[in-house]
Amino acid sequence: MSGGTYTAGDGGKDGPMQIDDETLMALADGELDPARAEELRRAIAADPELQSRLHRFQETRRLLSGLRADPKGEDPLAAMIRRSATAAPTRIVPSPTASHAAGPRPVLPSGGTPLTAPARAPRRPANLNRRPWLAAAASAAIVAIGLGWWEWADAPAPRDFSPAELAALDALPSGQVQASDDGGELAMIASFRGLDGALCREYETAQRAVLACREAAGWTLRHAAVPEAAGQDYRPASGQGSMDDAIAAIGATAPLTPEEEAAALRE
Amino acid sequence: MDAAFAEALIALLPNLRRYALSLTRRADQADDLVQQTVERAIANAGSHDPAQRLEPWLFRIMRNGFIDQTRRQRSAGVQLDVHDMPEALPIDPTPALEARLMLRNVETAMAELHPEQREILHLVCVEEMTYAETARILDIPIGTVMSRLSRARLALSERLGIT
Repeated sequence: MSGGTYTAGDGGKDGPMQIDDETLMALADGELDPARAEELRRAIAADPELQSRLHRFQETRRLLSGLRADPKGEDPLAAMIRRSATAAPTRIVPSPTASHAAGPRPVLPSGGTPLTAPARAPRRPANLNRRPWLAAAASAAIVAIGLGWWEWADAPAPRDFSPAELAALDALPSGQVQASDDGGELAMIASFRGLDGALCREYETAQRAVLACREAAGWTLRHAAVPEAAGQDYRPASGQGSMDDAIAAIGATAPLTPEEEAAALRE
Repeated sequence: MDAAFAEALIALLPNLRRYALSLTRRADQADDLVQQTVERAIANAGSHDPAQRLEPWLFRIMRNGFIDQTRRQRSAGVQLDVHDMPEALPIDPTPALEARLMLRNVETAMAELHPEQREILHLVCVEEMTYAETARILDIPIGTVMSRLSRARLALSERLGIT
């Protein structure tokens, strides 16, 4: 391949023994500009020791290129990619080979049943159920967030709660989905009791996953994470730690049952 | 994503599979990583600058995905490594071929290297990334690419008995 024009080495002083390993390697890798490469080749031609040092770099490259084997037949993902090209621009297409195969949304059960995981200490409920929903929801979020070419900056998360989010926090039973302000959807995941007795709720929108707790002054943001890309996972918008950590931090033990949640929401 | 992008992505699937295997060293994890990378690439096709080569862009997506995955799996117990289980490797039906043997030696030597060295060797010598592209994929200065790569090359040549 055509390399860059990296100009390594010691410039004017071209005594053969001054040529370092990195310069020899750059020559073997075609990374030197032509003039410098030619100059080096002349020096190397007159010096068996340089030849032998260069040989190690040439030979390792040649041998490793053998690992670049020709593919046998078309890759199983090729058909999926072609389908995506003809589908909506940012649609994420599920594939049977994916361990996280995404299904059509929504898959959160309706009817106010919290998506409780088996009784385990603080734990994100519905971990398995949420992924497919995310995969679909995130496709919308990705457009907004985007990924700069070499720049994977975190998307800024909204600081507080939108009216729709507040309404959902106040009334939406866990396991249910409602329309959010931006035309997307908000899925209520679960409710918890903090150690101090405060009601805390976890929900997700296309933009973020949130843990909020109800305090005297109203709903307070305890944790927010933005999808990094393509709905694979959420990454904290600020600070460290995961949603699991945040839930553990409020001292929650297990998600509230539907009855407990309903009672808490009436408080 | 337009059709041209799709075909370019398809053409690079073998490269993605190789790099995924080099990173994860487990076939099942490599498959997942390729799948995830392709999904992210499709979702973010619009953010790829057509003036730039697609390969390093994809490799970087894959590498970041792998790092995230590793972070999540840190507490998931010990992962078995295919290279630690010789019997899990396919038996070479034609061991007499010197080239095959050498290839196998190279694979073994690569597997024994420090992951950092293996990764940079793979990107430059197998995937033929330039030093500048490698620096961007790995988020390190080009000088670091050269010093790390040079050490890795010498370590590999030592293991392979190249003098």
